[in-house]
Parts: sequence; structure tokens; C-alpha cells
Amino acid sequence: MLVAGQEVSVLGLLALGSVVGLVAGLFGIGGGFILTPLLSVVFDIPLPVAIGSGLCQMVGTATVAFLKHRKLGQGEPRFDGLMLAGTLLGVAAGARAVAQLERRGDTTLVLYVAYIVFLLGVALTLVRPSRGPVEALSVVRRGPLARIPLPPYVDFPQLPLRRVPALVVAYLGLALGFLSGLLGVGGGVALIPILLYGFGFPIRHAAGTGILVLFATSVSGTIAHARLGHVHLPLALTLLAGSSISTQFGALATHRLPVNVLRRGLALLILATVAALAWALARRL
Amino acid sequence: MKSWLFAASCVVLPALWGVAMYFAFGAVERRRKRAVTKDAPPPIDYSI
Repeated sequence: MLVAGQEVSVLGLLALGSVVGLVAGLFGIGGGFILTPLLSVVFDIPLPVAIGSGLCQMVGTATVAFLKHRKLGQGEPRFDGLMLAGTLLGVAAGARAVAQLERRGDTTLVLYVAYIVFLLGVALTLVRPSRGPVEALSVVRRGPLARIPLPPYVDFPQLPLRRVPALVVAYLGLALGFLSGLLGVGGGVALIPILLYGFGFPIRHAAGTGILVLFATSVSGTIAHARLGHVHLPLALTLLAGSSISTQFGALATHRLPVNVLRRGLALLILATVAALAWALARRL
Repeated sequence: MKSWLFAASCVVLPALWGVAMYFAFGAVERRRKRAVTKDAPPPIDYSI
């Protein structure tokens, strides 16, 4: 398959999609944070195309996640609603930032460094000690972001969590949206630790919250990048075909592995991606 | 116009694939659960 003037093996793309799907199923995340860097590092696909096509394949995985969570009824829809407007603005701004970087010829340096900083931040939150046993994770513990004195306030009755500053939630949506548009990540890998440790969400609701935002992010990010010519549809569909089957195997295996093994495994995977990015950056400079 | 059509197809095609996968794996899951219930030993009758 020819992607942006680069000959890419279809079998290789199916294999990468399968690995990302397995990781997504195992850890309950989208996997965009490893897919996009690996498309660039392993297959030498230009980063803007990797970002746009990664978001396009995420529409498929986000659709499945959205349908599943809608049935389970987990999460706090008011939180999603507050984040949504900021997220849509952020995604558009992130996509424009990629186009600007592409015009200036700084894409690789700036985005590789941004990926390394972002992934190291995620790995650090994973290696910190867990909040406690599973029973404790169903309890709301008001986090530091929920305590910021910035009116107007909003209540989340399903959690239940009261008097949360609405602007903090909206700006969080903006920041995560920008990150998605810029790096091609769904944002779930950053959102869930923020919900758990920043706001004090119980884990069951943290997993359900943000699914609507993830869906909106992937759709608006795909549209923004497609209009800039950054989406390669056959590439995205090949990755999706590889990931959608292996996700099921990952989801089955996740019940058989202890939580701490899963956390450390994900941290190691992220650190391996960081090492690959640093090596590729050093080689290109 | 052409760029909007391309953008729409970039959203619709993966979303359709996602919906198909949701129903396909949903059916597999339901069949697996039904098989587990069918093969399970009969419940113990404590009435006697």
C-alpha cells in the first residue's frame, strides 16, 4: 500500500493494528498513544498522516466503546456535556497546530518531544501506588481539582459529587481536545487518571465518563485532519481490521491478570514507546 | 464539497465497521454465555 509516497506492508499494518487492539482490550484504553508514534517510527509514515489516520481508525473503536457503555449506563453524562464544547474547539486547534508545524517543517522535532513528555507523564501516574482495594475504588474521594474555588459550580448526582467548578471541567475538555488534535490520541489514557486522582471519581464511573467525549473527539479530529489532507482511509481501515478482532482477545485476557501486573505492563509498554521515539529522534537530528 | 464528502466517508466507514463489530461480537458473547448456562450442572434440590 502506498501511503504519502511511502510503500507500506499491509501485513505489517494488520500486525500493528492487532498489537494495538490487544493492548486496548487488555488495558481498556484506545491505544492511540502507541499507534501514532509507531506508525511514524516503524513505518516511516509522515506524522500528520499518522495522526489523522490514527484518529480515523479510532472512530471505529470509539463507536464500539460508545455502544457498549450506553448499554451499561456507567459514567456521568453531565461531565461529558460540560467537556464537549471545549473538546471540539481543542481538537480543531490541535489539527491547525499540526498543519502549522508541517508548513514550518518542525513536525518531527516538536511532536516527538510532545509525545515523549506526554507518555512519560502517563507512565509516572501508572507507577504511583494504587488507590487501594477494589471496594475502596467505588467510594468518592473529593480530589484537588474538585476543590478549586471557581464559580459557577455544578453537581454530579450519579457519583455523587457536589459543587465541582464547571470552568475547570470545560478547560479540561479544551486541553484534552487540543492534545487529541495535536497527537492523535483519544485522551482516555490522560482523562482516567485525572478523573480518579484530580476529581475523585469512583473507578467504575471514571471508565464510563469520557466515552461520549472520546467519540466526539475522534469524529471531529478525523473531519479536521481529513479536510487538511492528513487522513489515508485505506490505512485507517487496515489498522481497524487488525485491531477490532484482537481487542476481544485482550478483553478476555484482562480478567485473568492481576491489576498490578496490568498497570506495570502498561507502564513498561509506554516506556518502550518513549525509548523508540527517543531513538528515532536522535537518528533524525 | 469534495473535501467534505471525503471527510464524511472517513467518519462513516469506520463507524459502520464499529457497529458491525459490536453486533458480531455481541452475538458471539451471547452464544458463549448461553453455552455456559446449558452445560452447567443442574441446581441442587434441597427440598427433600
